[in-house]
Amino acid sequence: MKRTGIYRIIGSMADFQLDIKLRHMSEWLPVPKFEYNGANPHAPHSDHYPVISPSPSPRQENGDNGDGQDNWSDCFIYVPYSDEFSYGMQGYYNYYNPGSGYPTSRASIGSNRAASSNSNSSNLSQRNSRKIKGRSRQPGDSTSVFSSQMEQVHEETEEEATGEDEQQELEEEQDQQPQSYRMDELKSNTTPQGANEVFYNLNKELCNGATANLRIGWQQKHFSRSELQRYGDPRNCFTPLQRRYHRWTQDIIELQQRHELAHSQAHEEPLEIRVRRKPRKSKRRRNAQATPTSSLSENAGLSSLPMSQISVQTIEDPNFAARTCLIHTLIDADGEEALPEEAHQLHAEGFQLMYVYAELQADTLLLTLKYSPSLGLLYVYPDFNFSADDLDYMIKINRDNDCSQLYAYGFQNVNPLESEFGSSTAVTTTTTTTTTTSSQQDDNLDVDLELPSDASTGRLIDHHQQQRDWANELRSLLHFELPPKRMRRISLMFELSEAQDFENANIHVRYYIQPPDNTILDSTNVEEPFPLRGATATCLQAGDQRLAHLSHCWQLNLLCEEQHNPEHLLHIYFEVISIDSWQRERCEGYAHYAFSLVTPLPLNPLAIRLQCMRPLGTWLDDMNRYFIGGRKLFDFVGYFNPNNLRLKGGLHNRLNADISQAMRSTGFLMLRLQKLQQRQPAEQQLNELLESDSETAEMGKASTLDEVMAAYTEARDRVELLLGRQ
Amino acid sequence: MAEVHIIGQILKAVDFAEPHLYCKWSVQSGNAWRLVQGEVQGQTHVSSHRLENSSDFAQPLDIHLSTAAVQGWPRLLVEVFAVNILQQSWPVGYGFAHIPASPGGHRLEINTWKVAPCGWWESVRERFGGGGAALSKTDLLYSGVERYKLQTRSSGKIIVDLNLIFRKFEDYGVEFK
Repeated sequence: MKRTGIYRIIGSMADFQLDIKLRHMSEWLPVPKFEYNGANPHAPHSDHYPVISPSPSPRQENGDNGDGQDNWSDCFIYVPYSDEFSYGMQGYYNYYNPGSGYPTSRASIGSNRAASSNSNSSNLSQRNSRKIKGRSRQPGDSTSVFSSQMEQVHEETEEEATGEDEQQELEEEQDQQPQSYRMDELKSNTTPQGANEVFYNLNKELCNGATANLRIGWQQKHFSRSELQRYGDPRNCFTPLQRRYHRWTQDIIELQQRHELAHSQAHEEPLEIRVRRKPRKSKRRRNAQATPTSSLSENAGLSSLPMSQISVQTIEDPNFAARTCLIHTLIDADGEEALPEEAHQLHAEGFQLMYVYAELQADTLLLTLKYSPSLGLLYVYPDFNFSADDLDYMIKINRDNDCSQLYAYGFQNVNPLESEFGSSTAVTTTTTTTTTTSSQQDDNLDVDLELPSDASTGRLIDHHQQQRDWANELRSLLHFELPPKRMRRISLMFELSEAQDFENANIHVRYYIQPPDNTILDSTNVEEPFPLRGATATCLQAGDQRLAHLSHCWQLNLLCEEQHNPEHLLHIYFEVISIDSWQRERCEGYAHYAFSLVTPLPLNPLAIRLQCMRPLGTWLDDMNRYFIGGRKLFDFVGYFNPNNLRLKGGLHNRLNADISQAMRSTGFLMLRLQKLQQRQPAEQQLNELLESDSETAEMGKASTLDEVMAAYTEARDRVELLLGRQ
Repeated sequence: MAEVHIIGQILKAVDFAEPHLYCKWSVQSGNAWRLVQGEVQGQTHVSSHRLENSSDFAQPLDIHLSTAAVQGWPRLLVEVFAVNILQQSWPVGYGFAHIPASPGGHRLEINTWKVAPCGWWESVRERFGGGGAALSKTDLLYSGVERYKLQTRSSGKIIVDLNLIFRKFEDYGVEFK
């Protein structure tokens, strides 16, 4: 029916806190008084089933009879003590009930058992002696009260756990009675009074209505009374753990001593009462128990005294549970010897264990905690998530398992409602922690998943590639030498290849270049300091009918300014001179060629044939030319100027008598010309073709800029997204 | 950087007086030019023709140049050498021409000249001895200052086939016209 509580814990187990609240059953059970009074006539049976009110069955009666016989034999051991009590107080007890002396011997039995709990041999010897004497005393008188005592003893010897539970329940039931005077008077005369006094002496606060509150952390050590005695003696402490326990036990002992001092002061008034009954006091002091005195005073009918005691004790010592060792724990550090048998197997499985006990009449296991670090699970046996107010519910527990007494007692003594709140709080905290942790994990996963995505990687690669391309393009543009602003570079390559059909051989050619206006000579070539003029090599034995290979090449670089007029032409003049073996120079002819720098040259020009001519001269000039040599000063620049021709009235013809303008044709020159133009890349051109070229370039640049801006925008958005998430 | 690819071959030599010829060639360019790949100088094998007055070389040219300016346009320089029975060689022709400045196929005819002997004895030695004179400094081929004092004699022709590819010149505003 009921399941154990299993909780998943995420976090540190050291933060675990367990709140235990222990109350007396009378303060908790909502049982009406009249019902409880009805159970009184069935006292012998209520010892076995304190919560249930069933009718007695024949089998139980038979079993009780058998047990009674055995228990009776055990009671016979303490006959001498009863003789003492009967001798000292025979008059008092004989007046009400002659058998009331046995409870005192019962108390002594309990103390002896506790003292000898560590030695098994002594227990065996005691049991043997009990049996022998019992048989001899079997014919003695027996009453219902004696039979009940025998039954308790029998259960205690056979099954310690079950017996302990029953006795504890019985004691609790009896402890409830002192609250009503009628019940107190009746019970004070019954035999179980001794057990009641023992429990009351050890747990005064609990019996008087106080609640034992104790907060236990994970693997936190709380001592039991036996452990307190063991570790209180330094001679029994060897290991560091035991020495530590010794120091802790000293604190508890100190607390107990302080409490005893306070208690003795509070009991000044009872001392006066004790004076009247000195004989009883002296005998009880021998037993080292002061509780009977206080109980007797209560029985005397002094109601004010117990109330004052209760209030004083409650106020002075609210944390009595730790002082009186009411609740204690067993942890893994105590070793497997002290832990239950199952601990060995659980440790092998990797569990951490902690047992919580309540020492009422005997150690009662309240709670078993198992924690598996690997699985992160906490097991709680039993589970207090449900309320135990319903008595029928506990009946079901009895049917399901064999630990009915243990569970029934556990539910009666631990307040499920309050512990449930504590556990629920812990669960809530755990859930919150789990939620927080899971949310953090989710955030981490989201961040990790987005960073290495393929799309972003491709995008980043494209962006970087575009940046590199743009940088390369800029570098390339800056590297190539461009003409100055608003200028155009013209590169001319001349080649003078052949010459032929002159009168004399041994010819060479001299050339003069006249650039147009608004042009600057780009003198970057150091090899040619005077690029505007030059001469070819002299070709011997050639130039007349034999072909003269001149093969002279040179390059000219000019810069045209913005104001350059295409109509202005570049003029180049050639002068052919021959030198004979006698070093006589003769002018063989003049040639001229002009072209525009901006206008394109004709397509596929193989070569330009230049016809040479020289002035005719008179017969005297011919004679000088043949015999002496030399050349007449002739203004060939002015002659080839079109303006001069217009001024002088045109060319010379044979009808004209003036011989000064007459010219004579001679050989020819072969000239080859090549031209390169370089303008500003983004400069606007007049020609439609040039405009289309520039437009294409501008469009290309615009597209490139658009791509760069798009990549920049994408990168910026991505960076903002990442920063926003972080 | 603009780039120029020069792909072609030196076909043959014609109209030389000597029968056995070989040719040394090289490409000269200005400071702004840089060789990317290929060989800028070489030497052909010795060739002769029994029937015609020519020598076939068929030397391949494959040069890749990059440039940062149009100054210093490249030029092809050829030196023709003759070989006699005694395995002696002497130059019999010097000539150079500009690489064409327009893309496409071109055929160049490079007119060559040689150094003329100075006197009678040199001419006799040239005819019967080990050959004529040679230029000690080849830079005279390029500069035109007072070159008329250099006395030369006409030689044959070198015929060259070239195919030109121009790259990225339009980006810098260069036009071939």
